[in-house]
Amino acid sequence: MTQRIDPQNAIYADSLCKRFRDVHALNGLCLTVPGGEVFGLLGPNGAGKTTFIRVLLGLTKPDSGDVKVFGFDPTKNSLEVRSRLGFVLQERSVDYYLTGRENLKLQAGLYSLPPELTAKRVDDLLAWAGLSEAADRPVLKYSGGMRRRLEFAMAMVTTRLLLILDEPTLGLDVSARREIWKMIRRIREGGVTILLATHYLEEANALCDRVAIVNNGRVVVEGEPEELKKRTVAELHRLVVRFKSIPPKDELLSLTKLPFTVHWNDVLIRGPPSDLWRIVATVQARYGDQVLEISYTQPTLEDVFMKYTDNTQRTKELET
Amino acid sequence: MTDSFGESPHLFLKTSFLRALSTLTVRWLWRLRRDKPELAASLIQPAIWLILFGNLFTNTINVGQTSYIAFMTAGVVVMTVFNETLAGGVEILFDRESGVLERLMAAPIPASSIVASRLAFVLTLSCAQVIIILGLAAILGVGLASGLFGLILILAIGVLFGVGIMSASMAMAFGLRGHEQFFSITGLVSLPLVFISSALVPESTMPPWLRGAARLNPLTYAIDGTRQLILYGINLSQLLSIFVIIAAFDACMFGLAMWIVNRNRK
Repeated sequence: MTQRIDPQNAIYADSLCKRFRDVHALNGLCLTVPGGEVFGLLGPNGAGKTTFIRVLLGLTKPDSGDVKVFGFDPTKNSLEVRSRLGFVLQERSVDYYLTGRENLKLQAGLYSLPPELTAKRVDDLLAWAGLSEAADRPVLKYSGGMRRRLEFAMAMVTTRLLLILDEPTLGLDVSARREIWKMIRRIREGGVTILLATHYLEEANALCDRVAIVNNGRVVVEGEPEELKKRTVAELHRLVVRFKSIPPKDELLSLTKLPFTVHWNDVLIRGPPSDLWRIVATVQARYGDQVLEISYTQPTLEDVFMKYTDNTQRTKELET
Repeated sequence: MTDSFGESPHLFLKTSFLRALSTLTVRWLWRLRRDKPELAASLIQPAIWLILFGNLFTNTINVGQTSYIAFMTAGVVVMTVFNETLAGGVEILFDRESGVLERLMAAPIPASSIVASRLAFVLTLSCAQVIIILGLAAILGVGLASGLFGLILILAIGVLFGVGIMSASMAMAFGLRGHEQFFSITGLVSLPLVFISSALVPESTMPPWLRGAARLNPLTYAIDGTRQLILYGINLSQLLSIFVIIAAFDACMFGLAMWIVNRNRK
């Protein structure tokens, strides 16, 4: 087999397999991430996202397959890879008994930041993460959002080429999540490639240039979020009609041939946009002021996600 | 060079063993500074042994010409090194549980620097404790027959013995499921191992089966060597055989620790 290594690519993975006893955590995963992108790795829990990240960090050795980060193999040259990337992992990994400033100083030492630059850099990062005031308090006293922001500052302690984020906003409230998103966007503006593993689809939609959906240890579909929606769930637009009181079932059946469901006084119909707009016209003509509200939604990334991860049988049909 | 956070060199450096070692050792120092009660307890405990037990058993245990306190000083010295190094690995286990170890393992540092920093820190701390105990013993009238050079030899025995116990502690830190298991094992073995040794009574007063068990206990050798240096002076041939035996013990424990670390590294 010939190896094609494009130095432009931040991450290149070919047919990665990793088995833990009888679980295939990675089952032929192939993925290429060009430099400069925010690349989303989506998938249900246990899909293989974290195992893949551990392979990139050189913490797990794959059973077979090729993997390169900036042209370096993390299984053989893990230190070359690690010196170029930063990460924020799922588990907490800051020392709770040290202050924010101390955690950053330690990180600076571990990444060989010259001592004469350290104090200034640590101050800059604390300011950037909004932690200047809390800098000398033990992390134990920080809120969940502050801890995460500290981890981002630690990840960027020296200039990084690639930032790996594994569920960076897990368990955070809405405003803390927005803060983290802001930080991710600013890091990206600095030209850093970002691999973002998440199962918040809203997050992927807001941040990612491209996404790959991973299920059962392999990539099942990949592309730009908008393009994915068009390509795979274009027929899944959604129309909800809320009646004052629900019309009899045979009347509803005469409205459309599309499948629909009824919840209380709501009728939910999924289908191609042209059909749905036709239904809107009919409903208005036929029921007029009996209708309280009509809402229409385009397909979301969630629809794409559900299509590929919910029903493996359908995925197989799509592949063939 | 600058990035969006200010000045930062675009360095993609692999960190040297020494830089990593000093950085990680500073971490342990910072943590210790926050943990003053524990630091105090680790010094008060040997003092309690010396003063309380030393006086309690003065008339019950016959140790020959020397006073009982003088006899048991060596026991307290080695016991302190033993307790400190036996518990020394648990911080690595805490790091494993919290995810900090994962961050360290994924940093561009030699993995051995993580364990080495803990070893260096705990052994240095133990040496400081040994010096304080010997100072306290001097106040209680126990001189050091072998002088200043003897003190260095006592510290050398402590370090050599500590490396073996620390290896066992690391083996537990990497091999056990959690810190509950760690503490139940250390709680189970620490006191019996002190009793099945020459720490508190001369070997000659033990029943034969216990004496045999004490001969298999590495504590006995570290204590005998230390006691010789405190009570009588330097005995080169005894010292040499003790160094060889403890080094062999270290090699076994180190091998065990390496085996467990490699088994878990998948």
